[in-house]
Amino acid sequence: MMGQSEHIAEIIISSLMSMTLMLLMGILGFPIIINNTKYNKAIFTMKAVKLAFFWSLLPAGLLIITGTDFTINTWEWFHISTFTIYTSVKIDYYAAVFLPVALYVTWSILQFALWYMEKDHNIDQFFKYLLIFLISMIILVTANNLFQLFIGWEGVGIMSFLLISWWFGRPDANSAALQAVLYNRTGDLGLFVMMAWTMTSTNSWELDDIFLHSQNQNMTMPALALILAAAGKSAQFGLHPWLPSAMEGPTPVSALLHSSTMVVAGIFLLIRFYPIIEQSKTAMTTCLWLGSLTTLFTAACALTQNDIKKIIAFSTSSQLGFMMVTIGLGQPRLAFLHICTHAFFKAMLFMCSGVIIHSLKNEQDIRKMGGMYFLTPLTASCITLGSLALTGTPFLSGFYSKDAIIETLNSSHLNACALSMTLIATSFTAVYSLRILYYVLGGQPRFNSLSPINENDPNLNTSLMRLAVGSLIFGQLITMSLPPKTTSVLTMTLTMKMTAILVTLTGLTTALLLTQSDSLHKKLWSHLPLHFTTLLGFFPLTIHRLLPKLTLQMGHLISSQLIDQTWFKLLGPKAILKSSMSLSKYINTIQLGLIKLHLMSFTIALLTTAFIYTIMT
Amino acid sequence: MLTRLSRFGLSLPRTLVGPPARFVSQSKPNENVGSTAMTELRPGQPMTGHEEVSEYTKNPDYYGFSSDPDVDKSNMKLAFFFGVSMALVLGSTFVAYIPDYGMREWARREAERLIVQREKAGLPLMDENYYDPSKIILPPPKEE
Amino acid sequence: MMKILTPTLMLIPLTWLSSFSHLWRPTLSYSFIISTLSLTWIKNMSETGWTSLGLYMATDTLSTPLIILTCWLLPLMILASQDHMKTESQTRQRLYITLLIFLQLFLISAFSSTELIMFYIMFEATLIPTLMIITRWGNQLERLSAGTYLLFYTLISSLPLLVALLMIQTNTGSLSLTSAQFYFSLIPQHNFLWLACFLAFLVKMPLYGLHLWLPKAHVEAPIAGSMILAAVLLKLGGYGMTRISTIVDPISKNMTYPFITLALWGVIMTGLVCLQQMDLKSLIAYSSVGHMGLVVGGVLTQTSWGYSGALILMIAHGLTSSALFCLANINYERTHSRIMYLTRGLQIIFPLMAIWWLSFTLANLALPPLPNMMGELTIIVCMFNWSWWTIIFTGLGTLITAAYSLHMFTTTQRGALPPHITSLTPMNIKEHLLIILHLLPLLLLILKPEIITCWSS
Repeated sequence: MMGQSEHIAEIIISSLMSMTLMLLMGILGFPIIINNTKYNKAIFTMKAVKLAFFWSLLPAGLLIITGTDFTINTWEWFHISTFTIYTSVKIDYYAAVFLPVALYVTWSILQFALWYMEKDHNIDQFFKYLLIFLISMIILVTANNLFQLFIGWEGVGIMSFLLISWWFGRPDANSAALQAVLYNRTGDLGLFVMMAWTMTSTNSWELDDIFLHSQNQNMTMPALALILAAAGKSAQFGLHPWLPSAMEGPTPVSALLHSSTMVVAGIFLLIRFYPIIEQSKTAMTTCLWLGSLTTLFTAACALTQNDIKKIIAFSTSSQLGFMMVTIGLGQPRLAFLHICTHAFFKAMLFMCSGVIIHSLKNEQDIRKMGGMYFLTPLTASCITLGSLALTGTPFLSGFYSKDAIIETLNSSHLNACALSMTLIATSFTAVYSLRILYYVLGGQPRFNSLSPINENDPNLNTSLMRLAVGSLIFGQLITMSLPPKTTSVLTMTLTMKMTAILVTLTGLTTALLLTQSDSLHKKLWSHLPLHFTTLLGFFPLTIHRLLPKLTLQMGHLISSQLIDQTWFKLLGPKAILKSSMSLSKYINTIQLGLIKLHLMSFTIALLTTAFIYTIMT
Repeated sequence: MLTRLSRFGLSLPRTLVGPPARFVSQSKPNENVGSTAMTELRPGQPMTGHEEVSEYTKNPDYYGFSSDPDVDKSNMKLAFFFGVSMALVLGSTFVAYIPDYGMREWARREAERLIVQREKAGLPLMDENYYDPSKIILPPPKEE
Repeated sequence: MMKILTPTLMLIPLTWLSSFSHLWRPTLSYSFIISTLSLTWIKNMSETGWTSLGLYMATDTLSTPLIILTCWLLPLMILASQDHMKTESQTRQRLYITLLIFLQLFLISAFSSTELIMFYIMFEATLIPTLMIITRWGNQLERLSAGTYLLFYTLISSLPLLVALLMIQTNTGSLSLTSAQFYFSLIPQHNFLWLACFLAFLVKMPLYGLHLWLPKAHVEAPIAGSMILAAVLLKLGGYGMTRISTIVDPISKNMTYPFITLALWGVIMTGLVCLQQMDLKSLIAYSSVGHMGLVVGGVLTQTSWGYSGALILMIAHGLTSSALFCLANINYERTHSRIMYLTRGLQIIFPLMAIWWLSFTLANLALPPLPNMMGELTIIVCMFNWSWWTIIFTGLGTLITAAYSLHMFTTTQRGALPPHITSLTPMNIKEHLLIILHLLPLLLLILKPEIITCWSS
């Protein structure tokens, strides 16, 4: 039994938290609604997010101190026959930690965008879009209801469409945006199945009810559906090509898309629905395999790309696969931790690449860069720091999640093949990170001599440094204050303990050796594997050409021409036309005005009547 | 548009030849071919005889209702008053404050009242007969 | 009932007696007043579900939203067709408005009648003004063949319904909907009876395979015709099916199989047609066929979820497709072409219109929490419950819907502006108002979707 005073404290804390949440939404919603031209709306938006970040520390702090998580049911939204849909908000460990992280990262990105998008006429609109993007993500994270989660889910997808095609004059940007939506919609099928399944077998879309009622059922189908949904949103193998194409959007968009919104939504969905996935062995294995395949494949693709943004994009994809593996290992908390730490340094890496691209007059090819170490020292340090954190260097943010994951991975008895694939992918992380540093920072400048190199903007500097601080200390902070709930592996041999670092170091050394040999013009590899990875496994080549062509051809030839314009027309209107035409032609031959025919028909009619009459009587 | 997705896959023949430098475009931008950049806005073609004259040339504040400026303005005001102020604002206020749509709340109250009543009387909570069948007096079946 | 019907009837003398220079003003204001008044029907406080019960007319939770949609469409049609009627003579303008008013009159009577035979007569009567609008005010010569298609498809399919209704009348002595449960047992149930009762509505919906008249009619009709056709006339089919399924045997499971299959298959096929469609109006028309396929599926499962989803989707789709036709017409009035590839990149010159296009594209591809999504989701769930194989069709259907909707948006709004359309007339306030009046009800419905969920039937 709970004591009276504890009960009161509980009520006070939860009401405080709900008030905080409302304030948070109010702060965030305000810039969208107001239409006051007196202020610079972009700056205003940035400040609102900043304020929201500080507010969001309150629920996180309360969670750390009291360990309270809570759910608010606010409003009976609507009824479909006897089924009621509520709006309900859940602030538990995941939401309470994710909110400040997302807001912190977004705050920095917005400040960065103030510098990056300075020359854009529609900067206010751009900020609004980013804000709506963030709000959709917050709706998704705090949703305690499948319908509400779906709103956030689709909202994120559509906002990414708008943001990727921000420069809508470019056909590439438009088709990249379309690609993103289509792949996401494919994933949404999974969510549809999930919603239909929960409706029929648990009769509720509230998360708690779903978990409660799904205890003794076969969960394979909903779990697989969830994995499909997550694969679409988090760009897992098979549905991954939209993520690198999404680099057509402005750099702040890429930074936001890849760090705290959109792509992590899929993994977050799996973390939220872990109680369901956990009940199906098939689903767990699928997670593991899908994740390891993704992480290896995309890491390999990252190795041979030359576009700086694409390398970072593939590295995100690889990290997402890594998180998926973690879920397959049965460690949702660790996956979540990796989402949070990853957000900081990935956003920072994107921002750094943005600075470099901006400085070199929109040059994205790393072979045309070089020597940036001396020209943009701050960016160079940040990019180094980010890469180090990404590879899991001890005591930087990435270490706390990555190392823990690899330790769990080493000590588990699951599929060794999938696990070793993940390890190889981990070593690749070091390789492509080194490649960026080597080409961009080191060596001689290989760009035009009149590049507008300038990183001395207060907005840029503060935002970069803020994220650098995050990448430095966040992991430490979160591990200290919120220890993982599942028991981590405590005893292991030295080699196992050191695997993460050893693997990374191996990758690094190999890469260094290879680089040396490459600069001596030695051909180590034949061209085939190189082509395989530079062309992304021939995936876009085949699927993106074949599928649209097939569907369009089918649409044109079969549905439109064969069925609609030929068969339906022949069977319907044309058939009636023909039959009545022939009929009327036949009758026409009688009506020629010949007295003979008239008399004949008259006689026949008379005789028939007489005949019938005699029979009747 | 969908066929454009294939742009992301570089065409097959190009993959078999050429060093990695092929990613850098070597060709000069051809101005005759439709470029991807935003085309320059050109001034409108001179009006020929049978083209429509834009209403804006006669009335820069054209609202789209009538070619007479005064009628135009008053029509616009009326349309906004009846369409937005009345139909949408008043209408949605009315709809928002409709009491107990479909008598859902009433049904719930009634159900709760019945439950309390039945619990007190010791009856089962649910019964297949809403009325007591013995109390219903049916007319005697008709003689054929 | 009469408090709406009488004003609607009195709109006709108003049209003919008001001075020509003020023709559009009073009709517009008056019809707005009527649509505001029609909202009073939403108040539903009866145990039986029927309100404003008269001798032959009544409304319930199923018909009320549709009637209100009808009333709402009249002012919008008047608003939309003002521009292209400018060049017509006085009498013709008056006649045009009169036809629209007649259409509203017939539709309200059809939706609110409790006698099936009156419903049938009104159902057929709507054909006359529609036919006149299409064949007289259409733009091209093909309008005549479109009119023929419309007339013959719907007439041929609805004759069996008349026979079926007469048969039920002779067997039971009543065709009243309010007392259907009392004479239900007297109806000689038979598969052919079921077919006869449903065929008329399936063609009107239209079911895939019986849909040829719809794209033709849509493409050839003037804007008001397309609007009312997409928004309300198609919904007559869905409404009729829901109503008639209380009369004929609800356990006609075997009969529904082919039709549900056809409807779901149609969702995909029409989606594919849309993907490669060049004609903007034809694209929207085919997308209507696809959405109505979902409605057919929902109604034919004969579950309360199916009915709810069908009604939500019908209302949401009514507003959405009508608005899309308006947008297509706004383009058409400027470029005089319906071909999508000739009207590209409009966002640069009409940024606000791009937002309207975006909103309705998103509505068309069912973005939550718009009512479109609520409807589609309800139907998908209901179909899933019926047989989980259907998720393949419904799911693929939503995917293709997203593809062609965004394709339509990207092609018309995004990309570079071709030089031949740089000197277009700007959009005017009237057109913005027209779109807003479609959009706001759709958005407001998010807040109170209950009034269109048809919960009691």
